[in-house]
Amino acid sequence: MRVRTAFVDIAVGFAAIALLVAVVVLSERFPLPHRFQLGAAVFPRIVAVLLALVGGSIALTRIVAGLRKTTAATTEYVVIESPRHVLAALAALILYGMFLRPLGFLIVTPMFLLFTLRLLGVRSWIVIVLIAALSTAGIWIVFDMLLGVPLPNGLLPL
Amino acid sequence: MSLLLDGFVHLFAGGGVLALLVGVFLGIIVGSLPGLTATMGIALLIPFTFGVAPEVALSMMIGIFAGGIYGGSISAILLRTPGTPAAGATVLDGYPLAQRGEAGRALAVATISSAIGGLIGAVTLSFLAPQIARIAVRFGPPEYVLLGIYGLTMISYVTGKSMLKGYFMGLLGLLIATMGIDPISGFPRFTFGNLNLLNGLALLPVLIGLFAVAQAFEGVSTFRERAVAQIKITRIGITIRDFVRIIPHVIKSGFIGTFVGAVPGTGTDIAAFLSYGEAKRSSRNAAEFGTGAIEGVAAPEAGNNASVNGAMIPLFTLGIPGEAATAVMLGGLLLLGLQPGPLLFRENAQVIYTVFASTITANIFILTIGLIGARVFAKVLSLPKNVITPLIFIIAIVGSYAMRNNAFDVGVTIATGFFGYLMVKADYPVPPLLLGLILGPLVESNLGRTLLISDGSYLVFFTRPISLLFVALITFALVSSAFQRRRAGTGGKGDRGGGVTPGSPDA
Repeated sequence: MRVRTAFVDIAVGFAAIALLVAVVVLSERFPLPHRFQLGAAVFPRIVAVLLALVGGSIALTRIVAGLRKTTAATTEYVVIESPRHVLAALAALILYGMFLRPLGFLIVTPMFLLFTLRLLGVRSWIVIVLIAALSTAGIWIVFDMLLGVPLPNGLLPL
Repeated sequence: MSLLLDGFVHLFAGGGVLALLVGVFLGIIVGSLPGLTATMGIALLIPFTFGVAPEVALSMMIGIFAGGIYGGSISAILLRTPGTPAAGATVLDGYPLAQRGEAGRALAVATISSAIGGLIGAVTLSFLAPQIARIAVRFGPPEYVLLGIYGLTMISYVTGKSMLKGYFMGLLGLLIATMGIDPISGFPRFTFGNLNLLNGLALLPVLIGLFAVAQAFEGVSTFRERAVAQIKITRIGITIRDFVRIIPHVIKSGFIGTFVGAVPGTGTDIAAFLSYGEAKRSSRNAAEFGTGAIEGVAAPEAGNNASVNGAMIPLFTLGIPGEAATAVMLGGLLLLGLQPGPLLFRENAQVIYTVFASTITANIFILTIGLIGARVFAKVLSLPKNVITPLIFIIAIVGSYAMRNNAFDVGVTIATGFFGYLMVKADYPVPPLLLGLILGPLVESNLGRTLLISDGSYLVFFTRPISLLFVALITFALVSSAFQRRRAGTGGKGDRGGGVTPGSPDA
């Protein structure tokens, strides 16, 4: 998947301006400063203004380059290789995060590993199952048993 | 001196030495695998250090950093692929040596040079840092504001192709840092009624997301890339003649690396290339460089490992990280409850001198582990990326969950990881975001205090000698970085990659 870098930069510029508007609106209710005190809204607003200026400059540079039809404006791309795999990994990671607590580490981790190892082209199911089982056990032993960092038990009565 | 000796006693008595050994070992593995970096290693390590004494945790981080930088040379020599950007110069002569059947000789030169160079850096750090801290102890709120701003100017150095994009990310970090309770008025800002945001975004999930999860997404993206064929190792070792030939370059590069590392915003890769250039300039075998000169392996390896310790001088004395690895270490220090800066030397003298002892000892471990385990590490190079990537995801998620047993932190890690991955793809570097996130509260809270002290006058920044010095440093940093970029052309052709990929600037 590839997107023109110019489009991304222009979008980032507009996002920065939108962020400035959001900061100004959200900080309307912040308390006013007492004498010589830096108000709660001052610092975020200064930063948001600077962010909008820098973001706007990035976007403007791209717009000007696009109008002049420079080489950089037409040939630079943001390239994401294997986008379906990246999105599938993201979805698996979100599900892993969501179910880590309710189902427990020892249930969701092998499931996540089975899926992602297969997704990333490991062909042998024996290898996949072995890696999933050994890695899950290894991380559990290191965190939960050796370091005393409790991992979620979930459905398993441990 | 006696404090340093005490540091050694604590290191060996308190279990820090074992942590250091493990850290160096893990660091070499992480550093030798192209695509994995010491920065990522440190980020993933932090959750494992909960409940451990700070000096032990720091020893392990130092071990990973130093081991990681050395480890990069193994793949540079055997695969012609630097494990870290810091080993970029090592490829030039290391790989030709390996091609001639002298891989063992090249690895031994890299190991010995890394250890001696690192040792020079570590000893300099141990003696120089306390002197700087003695000056820094006089800092008041105005100086801290300017120190924070000076730290933020480092963005222009850890930035990739576009300085504007670096500043954009730094400002975004500053804005994110304003979430949570305002340090002066106590009013909750941008929390959207979520209790998890009352103290702002927790540093660790963001750090793991930006430097480990983003890197793992990159691993998913490039999982189809084929592994490079590896050159076999024969005998590992060098002759006395070899040693005599490299030692002047190693010592010189040790000092070059330490100095370069101590200048915020430089990094291990610059130290390596400068050392290589100086060795080539001054060597009697200059013509041999590029075809397999052992000095061409010795100089960059001594330089990059020395700069690891040089980089810790501004980190520990002023709390300024000059590159991604030290930025992550700064995050680690804060999570361990230590505030880097001059007070660290007064309030946690034992911790800091144990850390110094670690930096010295780490190089002895590099020497022994490197020489004994070279064949093992060469085997590690053949570990497939598609197996390692899912494991990085798991360790990252478990690490962020383990901090507070909080699912919200897991969400933050995934979100920042994916965001970091996309931003890096679009050439927006992530280390400046971390700098903004860490330095934002320092600047804001001290600015508030300064205005209270000075009755609202900003002139206070120009009437105190140390403040004036910082104003000069900030001006110099901004002007020199702009000048450098202009000279490099198109705003950064001289980019080192420092900070362009998550974790890469650990060099």
